[in-house]
Amino acid sequence: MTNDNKSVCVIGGGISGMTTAIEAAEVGYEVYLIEKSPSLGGRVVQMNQYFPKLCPPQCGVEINYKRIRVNPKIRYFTLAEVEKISGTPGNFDVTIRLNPRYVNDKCTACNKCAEVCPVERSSDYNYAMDKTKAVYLAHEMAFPMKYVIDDKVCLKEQCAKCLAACKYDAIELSMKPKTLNINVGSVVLATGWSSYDAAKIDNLKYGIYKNVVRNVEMERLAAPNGPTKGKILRPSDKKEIKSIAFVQCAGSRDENHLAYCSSICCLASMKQATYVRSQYPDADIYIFYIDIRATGRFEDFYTKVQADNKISFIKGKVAKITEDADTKSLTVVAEDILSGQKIYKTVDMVVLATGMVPNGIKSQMPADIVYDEFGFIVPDLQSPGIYTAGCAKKPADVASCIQDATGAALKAIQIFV
Amino acid sequence: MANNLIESDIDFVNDITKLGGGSLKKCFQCATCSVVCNLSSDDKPFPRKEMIWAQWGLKDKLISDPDVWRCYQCGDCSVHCPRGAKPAEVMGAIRNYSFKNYAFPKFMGTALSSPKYLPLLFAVPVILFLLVLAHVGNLISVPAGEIVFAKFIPHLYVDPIFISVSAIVAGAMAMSITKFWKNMDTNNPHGNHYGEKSILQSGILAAEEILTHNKFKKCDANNLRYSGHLAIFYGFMALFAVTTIVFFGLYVFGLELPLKLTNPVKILANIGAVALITGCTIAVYNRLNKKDTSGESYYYDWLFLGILFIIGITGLLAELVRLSGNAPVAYWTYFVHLVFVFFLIAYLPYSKFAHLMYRFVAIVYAKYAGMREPAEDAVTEKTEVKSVA
Repeated sequence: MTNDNKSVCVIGGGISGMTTAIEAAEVGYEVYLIEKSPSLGGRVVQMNQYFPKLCPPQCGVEINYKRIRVNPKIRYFTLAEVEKISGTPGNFDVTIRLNPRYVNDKCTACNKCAEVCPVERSSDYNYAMDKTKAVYLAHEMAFPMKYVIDDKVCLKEQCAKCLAACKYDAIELSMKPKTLNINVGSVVLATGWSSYDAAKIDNLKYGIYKNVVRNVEMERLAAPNGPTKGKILRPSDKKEIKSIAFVQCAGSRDENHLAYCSSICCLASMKQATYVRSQYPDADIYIFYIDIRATGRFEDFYTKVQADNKISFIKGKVAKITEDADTKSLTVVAEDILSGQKIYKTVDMVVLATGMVPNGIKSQMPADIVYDEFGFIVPDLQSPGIYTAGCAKKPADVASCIQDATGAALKAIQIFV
Repeated sequence: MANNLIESDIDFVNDITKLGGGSLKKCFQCATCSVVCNLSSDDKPFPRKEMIWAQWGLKDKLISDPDVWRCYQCGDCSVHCPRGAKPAEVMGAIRNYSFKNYAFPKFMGTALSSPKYLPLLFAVPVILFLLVLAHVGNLISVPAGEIVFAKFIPHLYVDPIFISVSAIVAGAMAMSITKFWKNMDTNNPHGNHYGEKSILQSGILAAEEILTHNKFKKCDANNLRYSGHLAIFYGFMALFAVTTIVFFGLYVFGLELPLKLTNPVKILANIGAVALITGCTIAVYNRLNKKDTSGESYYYDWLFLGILFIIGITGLLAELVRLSGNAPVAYWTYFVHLVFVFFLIAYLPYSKFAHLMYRFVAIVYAKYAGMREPAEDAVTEKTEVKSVA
């Protein structure tokens, strides 16, 4: 294979994809990193803190951004979608559609365009809990640090206020999609995950009762760059909370929803309990669970949280939630299995510990990829030269994804030698 | 505390599996079922605890558990069960098991538990009534003239048969019920808190619960079941009332049969028959088409439903053919009707028909022992329970 192409195409610019790209590039291989959203970073940049160390994701992500920025071997494309993958190891043809950003490289992220923009859109970064303008920055650490225009809502030439406001000529409303064809030696799929659509769990009333949120939204509520600037306030009236209930296995390990365990939600809820604890030392925190799955060294974190007398663990799944029409407080109902009593807890807010859904379930790669029944990519069944990293393969925490992505980089380059 | 060794009855687990509880081992004790159930109370709610008892083979606990009979198999639990463990069906299987377990004499319980004994069970009334026919000389040719069923099989024979069978059945029921009550009283997992209500008060409340179907009505997942049951129940009650009235009318007041169609008792009988048949039709439809909530149906279910259905149809048919004047068909339809009525009454304590008595007794007991009722509204009822974890 000595004459073959020795470059790698990494699809997905989250923590796994970035890691694979960086690891492969830093040992000397050409890498194309393809991301469909306007910024690299993926789900981790939406987190407030990582468990179990409770450090913010920003520092690690920033280091990765820098490693990408300074490495000439990595070519990254945002707003890029893969249209076709074909070929054999050493010779894959990948067709990529580059969607228009409508903002060119002259952008300095000065925000003048957004100031004049009259159109608003709900923020996907904050899970629709607040709004951005039609021209917006993906998030404050966006990489590339360039604004983007949402062409589904932008009024384009009819408005063009941003065009006048931008003194750097960075706005190009006439930008068109482009197609990029690349030839690479191997492909790594790092297409990531989304949070389960909790509205499908009819008895937990997500989307009906305002104060029922998912764990991913709780991350944004606790994050300093989130819609509440990091103060955990309940959505219905933006008031401080005195009590909160975490509902584990919200749709997980459930044949009617996600039949598998996502393995991270127990730790995520315990971590979020510590957010509440640090902001509201007197708040009552209840974690309703079927089984606590804190594997390996995560057990220590569990032990630490368990020792907290303001955090109660109740063995029994919440299967009913009711709302007080006046106060918007919620009553969760479970059977406390250890005492055999039904237990009613009235709380200000409920967090549903929803699981990870692989993005493969709704948009499969335009290639011959084998997915399992849940939409996860089955690594062992792929054609030679195609590898998988991170949550596209199975639900995992960030540290595991990084290890996995490093392994994927090794697999992707070892066929060249 | 003494060593409490759990004695697991593996045969019991296998029996429950065969009687409709095949999914019980899928349960992972999340207790979704207990919470979504509108009928279970806040104190040791069902069916989560029954699921683990069934998995562990704790027969003694389950056959003495009043909660098994406070479940109306709405299917709410099965619909929400994350594991497909179908608690509603497991509860039904435990009830089926109880029919056999409490049967007196034991061999009758076995006889009603499997279709292989069905010919034998039917042979009893068929031969009995054929003998009567042979005796009165109606076996070869049916009586001439106006069709009066008493001319075919005279009351002189029918009534003593049914009276003695009823007496035997009542005795057998008393034996089963006594044992059931004693078991509940010794093993009640809720503990007993007597004193709030007398047995009589409990009985009146239980009768009210059954007559109004007010608990059954709370089922969310499958309320068609409720409608079907209500129709069957009141259809059956009407026919039972008619039989009683006619019996006393006949012997006490010298009533002339058949009754005119305009007679109020006859009208009640016809309404009852139509209700019974309608209810049975709904129930059959439900069992065939709503398996996700009704669950699978088993021998006990089909036998009971089938018998009721045929009693309703043959009863109404016998009347219609009688009015049309076709004597042989009318008389032999009546014969079939009698055979099925005999089947229903004689085998009552061992078939699913017995759910009437076990459920009634369990509800009376639950009220008498002071077991808690389901919370009317989850929000108004706020019990603060100290968490053990």
